[in-house]
Amino acid sequence: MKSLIRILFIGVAFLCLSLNDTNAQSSTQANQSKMFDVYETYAGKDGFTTVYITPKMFELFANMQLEDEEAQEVVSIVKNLKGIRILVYDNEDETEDDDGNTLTVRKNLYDPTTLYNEFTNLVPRDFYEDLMVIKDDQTNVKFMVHETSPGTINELLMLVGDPDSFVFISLAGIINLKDISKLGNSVDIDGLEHLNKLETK
Amino acid sequence: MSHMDYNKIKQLLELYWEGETSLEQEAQLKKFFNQDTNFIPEYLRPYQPLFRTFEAYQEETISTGFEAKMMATLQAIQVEEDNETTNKATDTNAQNMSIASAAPTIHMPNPTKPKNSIVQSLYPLMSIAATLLLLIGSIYIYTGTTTNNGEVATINGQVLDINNPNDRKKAFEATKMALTMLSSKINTSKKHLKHLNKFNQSTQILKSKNRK
Repeated sequence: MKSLIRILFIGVAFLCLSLNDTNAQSSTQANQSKMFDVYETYAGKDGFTTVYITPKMFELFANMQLEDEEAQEVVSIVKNLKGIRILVYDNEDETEDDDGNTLTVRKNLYDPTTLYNEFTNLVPRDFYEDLMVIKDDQTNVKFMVHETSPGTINELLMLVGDPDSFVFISLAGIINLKDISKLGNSVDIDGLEHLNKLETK
Repeated sequence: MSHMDYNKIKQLLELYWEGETSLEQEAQLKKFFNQDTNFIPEYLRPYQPLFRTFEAYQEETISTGFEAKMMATLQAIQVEEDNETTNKATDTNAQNMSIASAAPTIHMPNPTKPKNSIVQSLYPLMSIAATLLLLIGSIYIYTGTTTNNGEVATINGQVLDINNPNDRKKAFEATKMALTMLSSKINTSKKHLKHLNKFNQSTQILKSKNRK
């Protein structure tokens, strides 16, 4: 009799846990899909470049013949990621005129600053927190993070808007900002201590 | 019974398993197994319940004084428990304890029998519920973990082919671009932070000057 009650109890606990789990998952998905919806709205539109890469592809990177150190660094960062989404709107188009000179043409299909504001407003505030916002002249940069526990970044969003382009990048997975910041400027160790401060935020 | 008889019973049993015993032979088996258990050899006892008739079970009646005896022992146990609890209790709260221990003895004569039978009748239902819960739970977990649809990467909506080295290269370049961009933006923010740091230093100086 007691064992039966125990089984029942375990069953209920199990169900609650799994429901919780799926709820958490679906809420994560809902939030991601909220970002995903925006991403999808502009995917395929003129002037936009969209990229979506899954961990399956990241696994393959490890098998690629990569010589340079930077590529190796990319592989090591990507190892812990669960996906990358990139959306880029480039307002400039390069064409060649009759004399073979490259000309930069402004498409002006969208205003990058408007896109930046639109995306910023669409980010669910209860899910993502501002990590840093930089306003510099005409460039706006915003980093947002979703932390599962304090100090562990599980998703990183970056929005960049300037008069010529708009960039939205979303990284999912375990993210180490320090490793990313080292990339492409291994010489520039200057200022790393500031980043350490950021990470303990 | 002689040793031969046991052998015969064994043979009959084997026939019985084959389903080839006649009614007579079955009656023989029944008769053998319905005798006093002490006369049945150890190795044949496991089969006894198969052939024991209801009559044999009905013979196992409760003796007339059973209920009275039962209640007496129950009360004895209760008294023992009460003594234990009162012994444990300190002098200061002895009074409270005696009141508390007196209460169960009053209600003791009728233990929660009807309640138990209701719970007992629910056992099959409960076990079914437990099984269902486990099943549903595992389905939830299973469907929750297998959501990926096999897509590896897309660029401008075009699905990339894993086996195509060119596509892999493209995906890698895109990843690298994204990460380098993140890196450079983080680093520019660090430069800004540096300015902030200078600001902090100057405010510190101002503060310390104010203190003076």
